[in-house]
Amino acid sequence: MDLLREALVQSESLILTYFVILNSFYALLLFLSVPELWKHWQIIKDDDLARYLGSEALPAVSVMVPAYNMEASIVDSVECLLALKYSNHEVIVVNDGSTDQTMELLREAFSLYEVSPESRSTLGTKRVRAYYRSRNRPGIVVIDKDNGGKADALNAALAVARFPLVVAVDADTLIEPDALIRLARPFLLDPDVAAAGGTIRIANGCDMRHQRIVEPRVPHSFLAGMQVPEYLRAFLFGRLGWNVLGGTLIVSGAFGIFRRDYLLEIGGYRTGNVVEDMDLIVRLHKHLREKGVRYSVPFIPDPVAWTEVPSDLTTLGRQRERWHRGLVLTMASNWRMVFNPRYGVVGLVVFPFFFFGELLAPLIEIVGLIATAVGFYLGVVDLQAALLFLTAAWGYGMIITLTAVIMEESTFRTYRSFADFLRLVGYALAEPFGYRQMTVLWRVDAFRCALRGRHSWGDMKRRGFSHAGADA
Amino acid sequence: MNFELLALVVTTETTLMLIMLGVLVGRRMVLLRQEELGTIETSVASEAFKRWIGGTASRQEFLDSIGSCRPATVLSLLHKYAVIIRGDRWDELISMIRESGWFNYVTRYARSRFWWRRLVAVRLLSILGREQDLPLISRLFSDRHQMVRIAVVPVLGRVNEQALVDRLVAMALSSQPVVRGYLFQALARLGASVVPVIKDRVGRSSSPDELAILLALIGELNAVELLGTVTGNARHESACVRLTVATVLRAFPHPESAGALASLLSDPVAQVRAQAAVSLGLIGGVEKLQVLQDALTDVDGNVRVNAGIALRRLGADGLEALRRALRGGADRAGEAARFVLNLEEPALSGYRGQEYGSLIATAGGLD
Repeated sequence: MDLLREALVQSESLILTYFVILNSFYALLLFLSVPELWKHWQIIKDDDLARYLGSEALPAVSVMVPAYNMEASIVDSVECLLALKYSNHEVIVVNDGSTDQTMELLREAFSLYEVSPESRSTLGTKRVRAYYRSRNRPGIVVIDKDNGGKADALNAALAVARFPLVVAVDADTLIEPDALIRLARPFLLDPDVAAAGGTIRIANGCDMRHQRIVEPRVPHSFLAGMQVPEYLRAFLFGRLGWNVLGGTLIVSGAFGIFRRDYLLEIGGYRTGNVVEDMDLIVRLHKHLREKGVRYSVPFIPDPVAWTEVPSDLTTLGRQRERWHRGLVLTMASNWRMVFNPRYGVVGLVVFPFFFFGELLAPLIEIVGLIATAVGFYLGVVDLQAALLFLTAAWGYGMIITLTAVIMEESTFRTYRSFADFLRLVGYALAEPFGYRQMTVLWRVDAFRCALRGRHSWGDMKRRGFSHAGADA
Repeated sequence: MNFELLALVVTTETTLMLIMLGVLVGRRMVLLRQEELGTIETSVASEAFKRWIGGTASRQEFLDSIGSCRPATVLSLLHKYAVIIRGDRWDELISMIRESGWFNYVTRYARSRFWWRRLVAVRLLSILGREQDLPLISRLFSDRHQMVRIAVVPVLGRVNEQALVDRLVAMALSSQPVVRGYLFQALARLGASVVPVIKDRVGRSSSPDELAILLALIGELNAVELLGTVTGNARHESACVRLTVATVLRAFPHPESAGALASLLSDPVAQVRAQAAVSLGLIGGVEKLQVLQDALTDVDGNVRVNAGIALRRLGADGLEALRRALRGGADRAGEAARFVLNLEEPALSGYRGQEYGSLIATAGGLD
C-alpha cells in the first residue's frame, strides 16, 4: 500500500510537471501566433496586393477533387470550383468507384467525352476506367476509376495534373470564391514555399445560397457549436504559432496547396493511411530535410473553406478516434524523426511536441484523473487541492480558447451578429465541461484501435449542405 | 501539491478570464463604433475630394480634411479617384498633396522600422511618386521584407529610371516562377523602356534557361522590335528555348512568325509541335493552312488535336480542311477532325488558354 501511495505521489508530480511544460509551450505558441496573425492581417488589408493577385501573374493551379458517392452535391460543387476567382485553373474530379449516380450526373451535366489516357507520371493507383473532358466547359477533367480510397483518388488526379501547383479539395467542402487567390499568395511572397494550408470553418448553421455561404452563423446545435471555438483555436492560434517555428505538421486535406513536383518526388499520397494529410506533410518535411532543400509550409489564415462537421456523437466520436489513430500511426511510422537533429526544428521541436503534447495527452489526462480518484480514496490527495488543480487545468484551456476567440474578433470577425458572438463565447466557456472529456475518451480509444490494426475510416454520416443550414 | 500556489493560479486565471470576457465584449462595441467612425471618416474624405473636384473647396480646406483622416482611408480614395480624375486636374491634385505636410508625414513611413508602415509609404508612392522620390523608391526596392519589395514594383511605372528597370529584369531572371510572372507583368506595363534592357540581356545571355525567360518576356512585352530575336532562336538546340519561341510567337501575328511556327511544326519534340500548332491558330496564319493540315496526321495525339483546333480557328478554309479530313475516313486525321468538329465553343476556348499556356512554369522542364 505504501508503494502505491508513493507511486501516486510521484505520478502526481510527474503529471504536474507535464502540465506546466505543455502549457508553457502552448503559451509560447500563443505568444508567437499574435504577431503572425498581425503580419497576415496587414498583408490582407493591402488592396493593391489583392489587385495584383487577381492578375494573370498567378501560377496555374490544378484543383483535385476526389468524389465517392457524392450524387447529392457533386455537380454544384464542381460548378463552384470552376467559378472560383482565379485566372488559370483546372478542376480534376476523380470518381472513386462511386456506387451511386455520381459519374452519370457528371457525364450529363458537363457533356463529357472520353479522351485518351492523360497520365503524366507513374503513381500507381487502382485501375482507371476512363478519362473524360467536357464539351461545354473548359478546364475540367474527370477520371473514372475503381474504388481505392481518398489517397488513391488524389494520386490519380496528381498523375494527370498539368500545372505546377495542385490543390486538394474535398468534394463536400465549400471554397470561398477568392480563397484560391489567397492561398496562392505565399508563393509570391516566399519563393521557398512547398505547401500552404488555409483555414477550415464550420458550415453547419450558416445561411447558404447556391453552394456559397452568405451569412456565417454559429450553429445552435450543441455538438456542432462546440467545434467552432475548437477549430478557431486549432487554426488561428495553433497553426499560426507553428508558422513562426517553421514546423506546420498539418495542411488540411480538405483545403491545401502543394508544389506538384514535390508531391511526385515523395510518391504522392500514401494509401491505407487514415489521415492522409498529416502523413503527406510529415513525409514532405522528411524528404525535403533529407535533400537539404530550403522550404517552408506556412499556414495562411484568410483563405477559407467551409466544411460540415459531425453533429451527432457517434460520427464525431468516429472522426476524433480516426484523427488520433492517424496521429498514432504517423508517429509510429516516423518515430526516428523524434529528437533527431537531422530534421532540424521538425525533429527537435515539432515531433517531440506532437508526441508528448498531442499523442500522449489523452492518456496522461486519463491517468491523471484515475490517479487523483485513487489518491483521494487512499487519502493521499486532498480533495480541495485536486479540484483546484482540475480548475486550473481547465481554466488554462479556457484562456487559450478565449484568446483564439479574441484573435478572431480582432481580425476577421466572421460572425457579425451579437447573438452569434455570445453563442461563440458561450461554447468557448462550456468546452471543459463534458465535451473535452468525451474527446479525451475517443482519443484514448484510438490507441486501442491502432493496436488492433484497424485501418478503416468508419462510416462518416453527413447530412449534406442542404441540411447544414437547418442546424441553426 | 502546494494548495496556496494552486489557489493563486486559479484566482489569477479567473481574473484573467473575466478581463478577457470584458475585452471581448468591449472590443466588439469598440469595433462597431470604429466601423461607424470609419464610415464617417470615409464620407468626410470623399466629400472633400468631391468638393475639390467640383471647385467648391479651397486647397486648404481639402488638405485640412484629408489631414484629419487615417492614411489608409485617403489612400483608398486616391486609388479610386486616380481612375476618375484625369489630365491637368489630376496633376494639380498630385502636386497639391505632394506639397502638403500630410505627404511628408506618410512618406516618412518609408524609413520606419515596421514593414507594414513602409508598405503604406509604398502604396502612397505608387499613386503620387515622381522622379524626385527615386532615392526613396530605390531604398524600398532593396527592402528586407518581400512584401514591400513586391509592392514597390508598380511604382516603377511612375518614374523612368533605367537602372531600376535593369534591376527589375535581373530580379525577374533570378526569381521563382510565381514571382517572375508577377515581375513580368510589371515590366510589361513599363513598355518601351524595357526593350533596350532586354536586347542587351539577350546578347549577353549564355544559359538556355535565361534565354527562354528573356524570350518569354519579349512575348509579354509584345516587343515587335525584337521579333527577329525570337524567330532567330526557332532552331536553338535547347527544346526549352524552342518551346518558348513557339509560345511567344502567338503574340506576334506577322508572316515572319507564321514561317517560324511552320518550321517548328516539324520539331522533334511533340510539345513544341503542339504549341506551334496552337500559336499558328492564334495568329491566324492562313497561308500555313497546308502545314496544319499535314499536322493532322502527326504521331502525337495532342499535336493532331491542336492542329485541328488551329484549323477551326482559321475560319472557312480551315473548317473545309477539317471536313475534307473527316471525309477521308477513320485514319488519324479523320479522328482528329471529328473530335475537333464536335467540340463546343467553350471547350474550344479552354484549349486555348490552358493547354500550354503556363509557359513560365514549364520552361526548363524539357531539356
